[in-house]
Amino acid sequence: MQQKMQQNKQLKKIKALLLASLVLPLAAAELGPVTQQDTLWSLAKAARGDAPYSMYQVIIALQQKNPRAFIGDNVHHVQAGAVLTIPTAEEIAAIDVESARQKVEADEQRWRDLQKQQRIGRKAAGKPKMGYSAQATMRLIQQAVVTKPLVVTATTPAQNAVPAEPATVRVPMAATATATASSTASPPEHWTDRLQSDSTFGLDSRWYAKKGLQQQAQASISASLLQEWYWQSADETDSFTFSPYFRVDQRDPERNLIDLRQAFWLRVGSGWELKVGVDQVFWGVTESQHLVDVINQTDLVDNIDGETKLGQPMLQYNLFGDWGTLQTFLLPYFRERTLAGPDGRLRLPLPLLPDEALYQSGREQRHLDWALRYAKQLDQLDLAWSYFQGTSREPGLVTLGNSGFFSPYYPQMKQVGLEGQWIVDSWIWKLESIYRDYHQNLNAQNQYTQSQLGHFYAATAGFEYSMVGVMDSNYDLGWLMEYQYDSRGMAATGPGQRDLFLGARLAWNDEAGTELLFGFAQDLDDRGSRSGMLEASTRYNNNIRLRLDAWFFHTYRMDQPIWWFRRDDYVQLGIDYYF
Amino acid sequence: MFNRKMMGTALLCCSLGFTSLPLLADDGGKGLTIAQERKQRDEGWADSESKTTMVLRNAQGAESKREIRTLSLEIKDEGDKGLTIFDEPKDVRGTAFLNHSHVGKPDDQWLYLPAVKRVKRIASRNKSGPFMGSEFAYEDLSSFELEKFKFNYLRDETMQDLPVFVVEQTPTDEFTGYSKTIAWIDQKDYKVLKVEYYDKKNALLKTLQMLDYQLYLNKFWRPLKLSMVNHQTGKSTDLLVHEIQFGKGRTEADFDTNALMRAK
Repeated sequence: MQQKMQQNKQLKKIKALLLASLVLPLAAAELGPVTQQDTLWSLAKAARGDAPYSMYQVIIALQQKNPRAFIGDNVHHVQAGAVLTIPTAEEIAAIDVESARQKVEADEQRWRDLQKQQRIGRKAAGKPKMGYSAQATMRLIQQAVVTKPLVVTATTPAQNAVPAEPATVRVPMAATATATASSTASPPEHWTDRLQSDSTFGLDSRWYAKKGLQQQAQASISASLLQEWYWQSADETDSFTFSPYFRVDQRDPERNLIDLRQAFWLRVGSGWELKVGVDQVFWGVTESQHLVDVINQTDLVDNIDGETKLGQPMLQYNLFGDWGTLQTFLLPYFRERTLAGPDGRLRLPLPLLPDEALYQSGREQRHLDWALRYAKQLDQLDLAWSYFQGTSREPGLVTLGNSGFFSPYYPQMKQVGLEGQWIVDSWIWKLESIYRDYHQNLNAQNQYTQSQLGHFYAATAGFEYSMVGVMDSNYDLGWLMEYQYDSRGMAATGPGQRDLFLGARLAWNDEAGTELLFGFAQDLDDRGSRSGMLEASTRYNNNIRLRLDAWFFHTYRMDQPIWWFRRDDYVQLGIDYYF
Repeated sequence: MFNRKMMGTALLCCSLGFTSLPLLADDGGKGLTIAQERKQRDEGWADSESKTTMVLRNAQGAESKREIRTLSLEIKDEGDKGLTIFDEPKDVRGTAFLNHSHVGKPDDQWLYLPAVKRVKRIASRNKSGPFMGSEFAYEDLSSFELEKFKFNYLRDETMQDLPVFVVEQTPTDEFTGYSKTIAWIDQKDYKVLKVEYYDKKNALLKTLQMLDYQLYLNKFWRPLKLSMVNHQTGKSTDLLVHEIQFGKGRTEADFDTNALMRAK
């Protein structure tokens, strides 16, 4: 019992040390020089590598191999600056586990006793001449000289633990720079220890099958950098995230972008969260289109699938409990959609001025939008209701007087959304539906957009079916089928007015994490209109992922939204470097 | 989640659910008794956190590594909850996986995709697929529950100088990838030292060895190394646990989809 408790204490201590430990490079023949940041555990771990030995064995073998590095024959007292020779596997294996454990524990007790004596001594003496651990060091040395060191096995070099001369010379150094191995003296954590920094550099090359409608080039290259810094307080209640994004494009200056994807402070309480700053919020359950997702503006020039989003300034307050999750948003600033310029592709062939946006609200980008979402999980059924009121994320187009130029126009709107998904074994049934109402008091300037305004319903409904280990392989195969509906019919702003989407997702489950997603949307009213996409990716190494994306668009009808993309079929090769 | 669930010592005590067990095997109930003792001995750990390196080796010996962090929460009379955060390979960093395991019905599972800030629910009926391309299947990593197996005590043996029970476990779930597993359980502490997995054709598929056991909180044995070898492909995966902490006072609020979105 006593021994178990000691052992437990030892483990607790080791755990505490782990918090402050630095991971040393593995498997050199030597370790060091030992610094203050090193711990007994980190040193032993580095020495052990993946070998199947007990830490106690490794610790004792380290000490036996490097007797001079351990002051006072105590494994918990490593000489700073020492370079440790790593014991061989045979040497480690030769140590008896149980006696090694006893020695490590006894040394810890010795170390603690010395510190206790030290504290008492310091109180008595009033003014210490040496630092706290310097005196402990001295005592250890004295003890090593006058008492017989604890011997683990017969092979332990007994009295050569600390040669007197270097030890006395080094006492002041050791006092300030000993690798502290006691939990009571572990170095304080620095705030930067909790700072994470992640960067992603992307390089993309796109090839279009044909020249554009306005003779735009067939090939283009773009590069991007996404940086993310994340810091969390020790008590995990506060965190800061800062994530800028940069993109440059060879052809289209409208694709050049500096954006703040995220920049927020988050506080987490019991049953609530408060977020202030810029962030990205995703709502929805379906795969082929995202009707309900309305908080963030779409970075449309990044990817025509609309899944890339711009950062949105917000005040977000979440309440959650057994009754569900309620999200509340205040959105004080509006971000304009990115739209391709004259040299870009996947655009309407109009003289468009993307940067001359017009607004229905007199407050323009400073209109205060707000939104709510309530979500509840009922066993295998997930439901969510949402409401949004404010500036439409989706622009219409208006002519600027008689100039012949067009501008994006952002009306005011209200939207109610419903999301549902039902999990039945390997099936997930999905539904997203919206009702959107645009404000009616249009001014003369934007009559052009009148046809697409008013109010409408839209929905996406379907399923995802997952198969694991198809045909005795490791592959997972998922089937997707979704029906897209829009009450505006051909006047709808998106292609999915009465379309059927079919898709397949294949995961190799290999070491490279290879994945492929294929999707195909067929217009049910017009057999000649369809579009398709392919996304595939695989890992090249720990830092690099390779991507292949492709889209095609096919229609004979001018009133189809994809008519303007009919020459924009493309294949894109991308490489993402993570560092 | 892993180390705990892998070694299978972590069972939730179930006073419920015994009636749903299949009839006792012809070992006079000894296999079940051993499993119950195993389960009971691992009660009360409350919550834990660990860091793990996965080393994947192909048949040629080429290695690749994954780094993950795992938070686990013990739930009385239900399956446990687990949150796994991926740190490496770097293209999946920030991805997080939330699992609420259940007794007698499929687990609830969600994945957080950091690129699109989306929490996606996963249909989890079939857990025989590989975890992160490793030799561990999701079901190897899920919590050991008495209801998931029919137990049959086979014999006593000696392993690593310890007397062990050898127990055959037949899965009750039709969506499993195995016909049976055989576990070597040390008689003193009920540590699982070795598990053999047999495929649906009853051929030996994989062997798991659990090494370097450490005692935590004076009660809970955890292996710091788990080594899985696939005999049919020659591939292997080691899980090396660097750090386990208990009693951080986690609650269910740290294991819901809001927490999943915050996980870094």
